[in-house]
Amino acid sequence: MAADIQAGLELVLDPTTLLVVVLAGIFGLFIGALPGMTATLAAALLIPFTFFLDPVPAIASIITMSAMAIFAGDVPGALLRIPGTPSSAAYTEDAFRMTQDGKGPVALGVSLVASVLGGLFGSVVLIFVAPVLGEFALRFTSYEYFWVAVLGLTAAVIISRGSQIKGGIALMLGLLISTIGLDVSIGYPRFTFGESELYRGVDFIPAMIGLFGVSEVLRNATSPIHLGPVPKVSSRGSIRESLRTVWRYKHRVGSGSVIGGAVGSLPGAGADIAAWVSYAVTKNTSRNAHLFGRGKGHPEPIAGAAAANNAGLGSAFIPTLAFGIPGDTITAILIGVLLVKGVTPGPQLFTMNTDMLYAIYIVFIVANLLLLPLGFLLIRASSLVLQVPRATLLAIIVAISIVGSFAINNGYLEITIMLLMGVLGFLLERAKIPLAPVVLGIVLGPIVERNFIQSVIKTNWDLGQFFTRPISAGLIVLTAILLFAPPVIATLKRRMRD
Amino acid sequence: MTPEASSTGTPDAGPSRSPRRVNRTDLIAGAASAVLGVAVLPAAVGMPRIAQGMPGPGLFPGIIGVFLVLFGLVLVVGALRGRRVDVEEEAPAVAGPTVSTGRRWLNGGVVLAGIAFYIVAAETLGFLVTITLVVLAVMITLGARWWVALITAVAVAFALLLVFEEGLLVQLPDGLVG
Repeated sequence: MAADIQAGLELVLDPTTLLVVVLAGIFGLFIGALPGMTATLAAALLIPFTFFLDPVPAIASIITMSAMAIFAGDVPGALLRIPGTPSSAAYTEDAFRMTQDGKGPVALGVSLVASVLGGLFGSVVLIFVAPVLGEFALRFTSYEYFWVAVLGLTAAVIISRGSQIKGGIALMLGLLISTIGLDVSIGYPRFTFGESELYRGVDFIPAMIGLFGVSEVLRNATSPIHLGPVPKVSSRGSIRESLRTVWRYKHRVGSGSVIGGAVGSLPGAGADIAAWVSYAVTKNTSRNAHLFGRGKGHPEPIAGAAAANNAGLGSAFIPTLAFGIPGDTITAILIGVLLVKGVTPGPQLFTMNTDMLYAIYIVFIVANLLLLPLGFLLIRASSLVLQVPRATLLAIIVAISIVGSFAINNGYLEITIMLLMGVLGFLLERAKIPLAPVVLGIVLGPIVERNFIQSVIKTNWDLGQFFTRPISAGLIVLTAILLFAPPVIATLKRRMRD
Repeated sequence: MTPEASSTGTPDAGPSRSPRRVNRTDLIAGAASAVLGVAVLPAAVGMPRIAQGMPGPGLFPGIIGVFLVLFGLVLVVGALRGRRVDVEEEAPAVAGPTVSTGRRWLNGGVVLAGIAFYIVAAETLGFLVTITLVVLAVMITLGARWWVALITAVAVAFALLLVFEEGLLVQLPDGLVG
């Protein structure tokens, strides 16, 4: 154990890794702080760079970047009432009203301190829960992997916000994209349209850059709204008041962290859903609930929800590390990057790559500690960051997307894939179809299919094996519960109201 | 589809609390999903089988096709019945002046055309010239001053060349000029 921690530390304290962590952190703060630019977009722009890094700095850059971006999303929420990332949306109203009351830096300070505490809690949950599940997963065969992946896909659809039918369509699109290329059973080319370059399938990296990079540029460029003037904020004395406020609502930070830790670990539910759940819980249990989201705004729900979204980030890595099943969009992207680099996330990490595992744990702690000073600097510079001209920014994102996609394989097919996926992402967003299930479908599709085909070939199509093995049966029951939970809860709610 | 078009529909349908309308977006999305599913199905059925009639490559695309049709039809029926599927939660932002619809489409079109232009022209014109033109076009369309756009475009092109060719050792296209 001590040797593992030391090996992990050596990997993280490598100068290249540290430099990558700091640069990725600043990048995450910057992109997250820009209105409408999400943590996922930042991840998509990072991927081409991670492609050229070793696995540990690659993972470290994505973890640090997302921890920073999820906090930074609160900045335009508080200043302009436009959440920078979806995970800030839950408490944007409160933060914005506090800014109008002259307390913007306090709202952001509370959110920052709560984010750091929540993030650290999420890291601890990850460190203790992931190995337990990982050990359990060592007993998995292709049958169990099939069901775990099915469970992940089901969760992605059920938990996706908005209409579940739309979540289902999104998932099927992702799965369909994942079937392009040579199939796993007999190497038959599927949907390749005679293009031999497509035999190895749709490259994950340009697909993600298109889905999140190009589509966000399109959405921003075609947005009917120009940003209004950015309010000036003076952060004098705000650090002390933020700390006092967080102390006053420490139990909210605690409950938010626990909610984030639990919700984030569900496949398909990420930081944004954790924040919404925490906001709802705070609102239902607080004596000050009548002050939330109106009047001068209130810091209490911010403390809880900001802790929840950063805690969710850490715990989203639990299914990622233990089963190789992504917990949210960012971990899905990370799994894609790892697969490209020849690392298969999953229980093998706990037996073979323990130094890498411990390095990931340490990165989580380092990233959250680094968030505190960098976050306060961002709050100071927030008005400046928001004044970066939009035209310049969007044009640069387009240029990085093009070069990044090209660099993966020195090919123009990748740029074409990026372009098409960008249009797809844009259209799906306009139709209010969520993008997260598309990514999960692309990542999990091959896992589901490969494990299914392997299993049926092993047993000569004896499908009974899928249902009679004890762990499989348990996973099926979980999937069924997940499928039937929403209608049952809806019926119960209706009964209670009547 | 224009925003005006999406607000048309049957104005009144019974004593419900809010007036029911055909949800055009859902109608189109559902129909598109169903059509895609229908297109996938024959391709899936036509794929070879592993052995003794056991399904192989076509199995998963087939299942996906069926679900695409199914989900698409549910969405279409929901849209026709005028059920509001989504709840709007977005608060109005602090907004400045709004941009006209035509202008917005032009902005999006230039972004797409820029990327397409890179695909066809980079090999001939080389990386530096092509990416400069793309950044320049996007920036000017989005309202930047021409000299700001020019300086930014050249700077971005050289910065990316430095990072990718020197830093990451990626061979970017030199073109006929480079």
